[in-house]
Amino acid sequence: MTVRKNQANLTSAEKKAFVDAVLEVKRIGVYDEFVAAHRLRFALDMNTGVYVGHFGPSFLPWHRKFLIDFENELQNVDPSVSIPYWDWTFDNTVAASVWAPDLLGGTGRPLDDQVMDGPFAYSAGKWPINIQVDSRPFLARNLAYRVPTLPTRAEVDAALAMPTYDSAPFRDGSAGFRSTLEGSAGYMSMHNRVHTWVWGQMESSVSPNDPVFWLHHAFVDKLWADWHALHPTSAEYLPAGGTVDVIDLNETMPPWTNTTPQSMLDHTLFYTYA
Amino acid sequence: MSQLTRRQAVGAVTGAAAAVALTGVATAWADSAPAKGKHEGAAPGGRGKDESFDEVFQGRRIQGEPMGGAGGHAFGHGEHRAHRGHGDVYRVLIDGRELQVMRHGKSGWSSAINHYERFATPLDAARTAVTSLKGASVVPFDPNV
Repeated sequence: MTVRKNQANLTSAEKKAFVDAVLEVKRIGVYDEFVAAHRLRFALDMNTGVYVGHFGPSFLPWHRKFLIDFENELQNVDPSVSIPYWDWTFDNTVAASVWAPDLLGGTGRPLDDQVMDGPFAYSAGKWPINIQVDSRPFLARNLAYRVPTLPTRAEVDAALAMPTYDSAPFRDGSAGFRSTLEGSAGYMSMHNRVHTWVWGQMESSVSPNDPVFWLHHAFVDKLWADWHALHPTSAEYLPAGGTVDVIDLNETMPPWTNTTPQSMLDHTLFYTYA
Repeated sequence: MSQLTRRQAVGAVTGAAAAVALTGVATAWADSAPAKGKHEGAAPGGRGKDESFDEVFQGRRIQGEPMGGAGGHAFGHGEHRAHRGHGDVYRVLIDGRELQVMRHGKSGWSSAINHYERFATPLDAARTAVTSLKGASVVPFDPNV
């Protein structure tokens, strides 16, 4: 069974295995399929009026499935690998181990935000940015530039305390746990704020170009699991049915043909969190 | 990546209409430049969100114009009707290259480059994109890539 661990607790060997698997998935061309799929989903969410991957209740199950698919690709390379999670409420500075050269590398240089160290630096030769929103071929970051701080544990706890998963109209700014955690209920808050704090590709529609995308979303996913454990009598997902332009509990989430929010509710079918 | 390939994603979305709509928008945006100079010299910040703009910001030319909805008049392609329920469709160029911008209901605008933020106007989104680019060029969205 797959166990997802806090990145801060990984051994050197576990970090190397994760990095090597990510680089191999990139080398064979599969990684960029995930980047392109995320960009397309985001464009469709924005432009069709049907919220699937973002801004609606299926934000959480859509990304849960997206991470499971990616983790499967990593495990095709190395069955021992799982996606670590980054608790940005605790490891919340540019000096955190997640940004060390043996995991993701650090912030970008001032000239062009280019990441200059670690396995994903352009100069290392294994991480070209092929699916782009701008012409920079290198991984870019500017940690803590746009917003100085990451969400706090108190903010996370306040979101976790909400007993309702999501509420009408089930979009940007709806009351409840999902919208609060996604950050669409407040300016540059929560999940959205973390993307903005990292900057570079993480701030854009091609955010999976930065491997921290997976560690960020693994923590968001863990918080969904934590929320359910705190509210065992609350509906695990809403809406239950009949909602126009929103993915209901038993509706299929594109692009998958056989994946519904219901099928994603129990993460222990796929992995557990340590 | 067994299921989540791009082409399947396009086809599977919300019916083919969504993918066609997106392609139509991209095509429309690539086909014609916004009218030039309509509001040159206007003071920044005070514009309504449906107004056009054309200015040089930090050395980059940024242009914007509504394409459809209540303020639309210049394009006539009709593709804006594909944007069900979200009203405004707006076209932004940075040095002549299209930056995709989107409206999120009442909460504001974002762009493909600053996707996790909300801006009061497309002009604010364009200016922030310029600062993000640090001299790089926009790569316009192509739904077929």
